[in-house]
Amino acid sequence: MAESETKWSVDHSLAERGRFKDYGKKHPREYAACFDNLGQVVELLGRFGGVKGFQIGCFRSEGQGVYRIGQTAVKHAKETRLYVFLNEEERLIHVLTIGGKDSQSEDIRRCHAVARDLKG
Amino acid sequence: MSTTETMANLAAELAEDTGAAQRVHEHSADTVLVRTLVDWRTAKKLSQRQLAAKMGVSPSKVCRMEAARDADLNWGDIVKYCNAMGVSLSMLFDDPKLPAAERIKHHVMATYTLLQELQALAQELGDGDDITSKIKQFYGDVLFNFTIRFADCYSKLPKSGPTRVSTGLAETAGATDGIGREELAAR
Repeated sequence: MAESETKWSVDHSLAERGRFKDYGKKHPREYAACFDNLGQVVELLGRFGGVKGFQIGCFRSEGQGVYRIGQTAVKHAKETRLYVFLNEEERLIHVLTIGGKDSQSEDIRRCHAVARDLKG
Repeated sequence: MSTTETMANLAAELAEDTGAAQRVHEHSADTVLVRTLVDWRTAKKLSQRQLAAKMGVSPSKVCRMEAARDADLNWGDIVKYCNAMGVSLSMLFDDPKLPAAERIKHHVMATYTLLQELQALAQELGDGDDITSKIKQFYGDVLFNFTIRFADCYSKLPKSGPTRVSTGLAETAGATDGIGREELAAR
C-alpha cells in the first residue's frame, strides 16, 4: 500500500452549523459514522491525489464537485449523508451540510449553490 | 494528530457536543478490519464490482461487507476477500495483559522469522538479481528505522544504573540495565 501521499485539508467555515447541531443530537451514531468516514475519504484522497483513483461505497458524487458521504456500520441506521465540496486544485474539502433521505433534494440544491459560489 | 482525532474534534465542534468525538472514536474502533480491507482493495486498484467478480459474489455483497462493523463480518467472507486480492492473511494473537517485555520479545521473534523468509528468497534468487539488491536495501532501512526508534525510547528512560548490552537475540528481552529476564517480564 505504498502510494505517495498528498495532504488534504478540511474547511468547515461554510458548514450549516444549525443542521449539524440538530442532526448530531437526533442521530448521534449516524452523525459520528459520517465523520469517521470523512476521515477515510481524506486519507484516500491523500493517497490517490484525487477522487479518480479509488471507489468506496459510502462516497458518491452529486455533481458540480459536491460529494456525499454516507453512514456505515450502524445497525438500523437512518440513511444519512454528509455533504462536502471538493476543491481538487487546492486539495481542500469544504464541509457543507448533513441530512437524511427526506431532505436530500433540498440539501443537494443548497450545496450546488455553494459550489457555484466557490467556483466563482 | 491522527485523521480520526481531527474528525472527532470537528464532529464535536459542529455538534457542540463533546460526546460526538467519543462516538467517532468508537466507530473507528469498530471498523479497523473493514478499513484495512478497503485500503487493500483500493491499493490494488480494484473496484467493488471487480473484486466481487473475483470473489464470485454479487457487488452488493462486497458493498455490505465494507459497510459492516468488524464484529459482523463472516470469517469465510474475509478469507475470500483476501484471496480475491491475492493478499495472504495472518493472525496475530496479542495479549495486552502480558508484560511489555514478553510482548516485545514475541514481536521481535515474529520479525526475525519474516527477515529469514526474505533472506531465503534472496538466497534463491542469487546475487545479481534486482529483488535481492532491494532486499539488501530493505534490511538497511529496517535497521535504520529500528535504531532511531530504539534510540528515541532509550533516551527517554530514567538515567540511573549501568547499561549492560548483551549479544544474541534470545538475550534481548532481558538485557536492559542488568535486570534479569524474569524480573523484567514480570513488570
